[in-house]
Amino acid sequence: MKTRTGVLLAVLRKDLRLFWPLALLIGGLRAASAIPHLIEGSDSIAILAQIAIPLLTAFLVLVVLHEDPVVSLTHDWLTRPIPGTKLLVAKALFLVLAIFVPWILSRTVYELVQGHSLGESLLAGLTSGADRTQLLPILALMAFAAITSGIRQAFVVALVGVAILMLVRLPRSSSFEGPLLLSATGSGWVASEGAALLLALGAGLVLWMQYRHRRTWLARGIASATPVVAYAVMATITWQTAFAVQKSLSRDPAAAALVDVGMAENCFSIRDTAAAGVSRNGDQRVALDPDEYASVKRAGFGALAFTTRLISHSIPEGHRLAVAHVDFSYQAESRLVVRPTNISPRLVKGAGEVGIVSSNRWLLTLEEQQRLAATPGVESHFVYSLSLLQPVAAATIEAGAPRRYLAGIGYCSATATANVMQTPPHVIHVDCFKPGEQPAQLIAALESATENLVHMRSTDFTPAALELWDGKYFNVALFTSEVPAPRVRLTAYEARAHFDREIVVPGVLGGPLATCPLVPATETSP
Amino acid sequence: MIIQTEGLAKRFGRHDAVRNLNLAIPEGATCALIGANGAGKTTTMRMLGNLLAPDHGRARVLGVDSRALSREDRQRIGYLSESQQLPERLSVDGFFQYLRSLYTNWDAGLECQLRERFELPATRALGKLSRGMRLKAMLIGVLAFRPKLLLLDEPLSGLDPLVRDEVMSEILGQAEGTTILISSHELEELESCTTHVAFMAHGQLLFQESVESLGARLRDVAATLAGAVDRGALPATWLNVQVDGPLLRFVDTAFVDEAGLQAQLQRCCGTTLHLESQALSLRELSKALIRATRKEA
Repeated sequence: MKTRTGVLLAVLRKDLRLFWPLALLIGGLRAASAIPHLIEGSDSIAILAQIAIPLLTAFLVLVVLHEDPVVSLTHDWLTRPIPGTKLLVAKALFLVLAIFVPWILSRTVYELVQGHSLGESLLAGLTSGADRTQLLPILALMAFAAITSGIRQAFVVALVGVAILMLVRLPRSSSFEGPLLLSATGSGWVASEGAALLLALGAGLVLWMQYRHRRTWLARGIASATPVVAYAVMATITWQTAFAVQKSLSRDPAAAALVDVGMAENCFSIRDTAAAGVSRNGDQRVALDPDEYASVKRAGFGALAFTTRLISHSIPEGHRLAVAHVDFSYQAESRLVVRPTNISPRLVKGAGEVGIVSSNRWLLTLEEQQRLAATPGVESHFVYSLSLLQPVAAATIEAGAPRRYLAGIGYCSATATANVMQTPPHVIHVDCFKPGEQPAQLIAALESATENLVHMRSTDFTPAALELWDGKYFNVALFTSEVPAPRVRLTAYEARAHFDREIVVPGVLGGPLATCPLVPATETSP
Repeated sequence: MIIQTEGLAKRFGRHDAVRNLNLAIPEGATCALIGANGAGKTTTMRMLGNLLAPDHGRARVLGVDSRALSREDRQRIGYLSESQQLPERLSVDGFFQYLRSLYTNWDAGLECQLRERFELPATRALGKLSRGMRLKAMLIGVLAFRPKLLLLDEPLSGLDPLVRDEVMSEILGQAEGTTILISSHELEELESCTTHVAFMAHGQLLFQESVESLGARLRDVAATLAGAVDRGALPATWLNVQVDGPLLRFVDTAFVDEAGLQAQLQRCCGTTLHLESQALSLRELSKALIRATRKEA
C-alpha cells in the first residue's frame, strides 16, 4: 500500500477529509447542471446557480492546490516524501472526482433515462462533462494556483490582472474578429484550436515547471506570456493563413480539377439602392436589406450596389461545394484599381451541389465608379476559396423507429409530430449524437420525391485528431406536409480538397460598360 | 559525512543570505548550528532539506545531492521548523493517518507511544492546538519514521522550559544513532547532547568543531593585573575584551594551557596577580561569538 500509489492516495484522502463539504456542494450543483434544462432559464435560482457554479469551482481548484502550495518554503508537504509530480496528480485526481465525475455520472444517468444505450449514455456523459471547454479553464486555474502562494495572493493577482486589462484595453482591430469570421467558414479551428493549444501547453509547462522543478519565477514568466501569445495568435491570424493551413491538410488536392465554376450572370445584378427607387437596371433590380441600406447610405450620393453569384457547372457525383471566402478586386494590367466594399454579412459562406453556391453583395462609391469608368481594360478579379465535400457516410432513418448507431454519423433517431395549427402540419425531429471524430458537414433531408427539405450543420473542418474527445449533437426539425412516418436521409461529408479558384471577368459589372453599364443611384436616401 | 556542503551560497536580492558555506557533519553527530538572527541558519537548513535551491555550490545529504533527493531519501530525513505550516484543519488523528501512509518505515508503535506520552488530543484540529502541542505533533511526525538525519530549525523557540525539556528528552531518547543538525537559541537544552558546533555569522560559516575541541580551545578568562593594559598589544585571538581598572576579562579562542596564557598576559599586560580560566557553556560561547561578530560588523 505504501507504494508510490500510496502517496497519491494519502494526499487524496487528506484532501477529501479537508474539502469534502465543498466538493459535495460543487459536485451536486454540477450534477444538476449536467441535466439539460434543469438549471437554465431566467429565474433567480437558475441565474444564481449559473454564477455560483463556475465561481465555486474556481474557488475549489485554488483552495485544493493552495493547501499544499508549491510557492512556499514552510508547508509541511515540502518536508515529506511526496514527489511534486505525485502531488500534482493527486490534486488533479481530486478535482476530477469533485468536478467532472458528478457531471459525467449525472449526464450518463440522464441519457439512460432518455432510453439511450449504455454506450451512448457513457460517451455523452464523458464528452459533455470533460470536454475541452471545461478542461482548459481548470488547467489554467491549476497553473494559476501553482504560481501563487495562497488564496489571498491569487485573489489580489486576479484583481490586478482584471484591472490592468480594463485599463489597457486589448487593442481591438478588425483582425480581432478573425476567429469569429473564420468560424463561419469551417476554418475557425485554426485560430481557436491554436490559441487553446497554446494555453494548454502554457498551463502544462507552468505545472511541470512548478511541480517538477519549483522554478517559480520562470513559471510566472511563462504564465504571463502564454495568454499574451494566445491572444496575439487569435488577433492576428488572417484568413489567408487559416486557409493556407486548411489547404495543406487537403486529403486529395487533385480533386480540385474536377470542379468547374463560373459567374452566374453575364451582367451582375444591380441592387435597388434604397427607397429612393433610383436604380434603372430594369428587371435585374433587387431590393436592399437593412444592413445594405445603411452601407449604401454611408457611401453617399451616387453609390452603386450589386450582387455577384458563383455557379458550379460540374462537381463529382454526390459531392458538395462550400464557399468560404471571396476576394474581389478591380485590376487593370495586373494593377489594383479599386477594391469594392463587401456589404454581404461578413464572410458569406455557401454550400451546395450543382447550381448557385455563393452570392455576395458589393458597393462602389461614385468616385470609385468614375475611376473605373476612366480606366481602360479594367477587369473584375475574383478569388474564391472553396472546399469540395465528399460524402463519407449515409443512412436512412424512419421516424418513430428505435434509436440506433449509424457508422460515421452517430447515434440517431427521428420522431414525427403533427400540429394542425401550423403549415405544413408535420414536423420530423431528427436527433443525432456523434462522439469522437466529427463529419465536416452533416445533412438531413426528407426522403421524398415531392418535398426537398434539407437541414445541414455548418461546415467544420477541425482535424480528426483534435476531435477525439468531442461529442456533438445534431438536432433539426424538418417540416413537411407528408403523411407521418416519413424517412429521413442523413449524409455525412468530409472535406476532400480545399482550393482557390480565380475567375476574371472583363469590365466592371460582368462585361464591357456598353453591355453592362454602371447605373448609380441619383440619391442614396429618401 | 552525512552532510557535506561545498561553496554553498544563496542570495536574496542584494542580500547574501549564505556565502561559500563548507559544512561537514559526521554520521551520528549532534551538531548545534548557532549564530545571531539573520546569520543564515534557516536558509542553510532549507537548502539542506531541498526546500530552497542554492545559487552556487552544492550540498550532499546522506550522500545524495540535496537537489536530487528521492522519495526514498526523504523517508530517512526528518525536517522540523518553527515556521512549518501544517494542514491546520486536519485533526491530530487525521494528520498521523496521512503521515502513516507516506512512509514505508513508519513505526506505528512509536507513534502510539509518543502520542500517549505527549497526551495529544486525537480529534482536535492541528490549527487549534497550543504552540507546545503543535510542536509535539510535529516532533512525532519526524521521529516516528526513525530518520537517519534530523534537521531541526529552531524547534524550541517560544516554548516554556517544561515543554522544552520534554521535547529535548524525546528527541534524544528516540533519535539514538540519528545525526542531528539543530539550530536553536535555546542552547542550555542542547548543552548535554551536542557533539559538534557550527557557528555562522553574516551568511558565513566561521567555524565548525567538536565540542571537546572547542571546550579545550575556548576559555573564559578573568585576570587581575599589576599594571595598565595596552589594548594595542592584545592578541587577536582574545574576544570581547573588557578592562575595568586592573581587571581584565576576555574569551581566549586559542587556549592551550595556563602556562601559555600566563606568558601571553605577561607580554601584553605585565605581571598577572591573579588568573582564572574556565570552559564556556554553549550559551556563553554563543553569546561571546555573536557579540564579537557584531563588533566586527
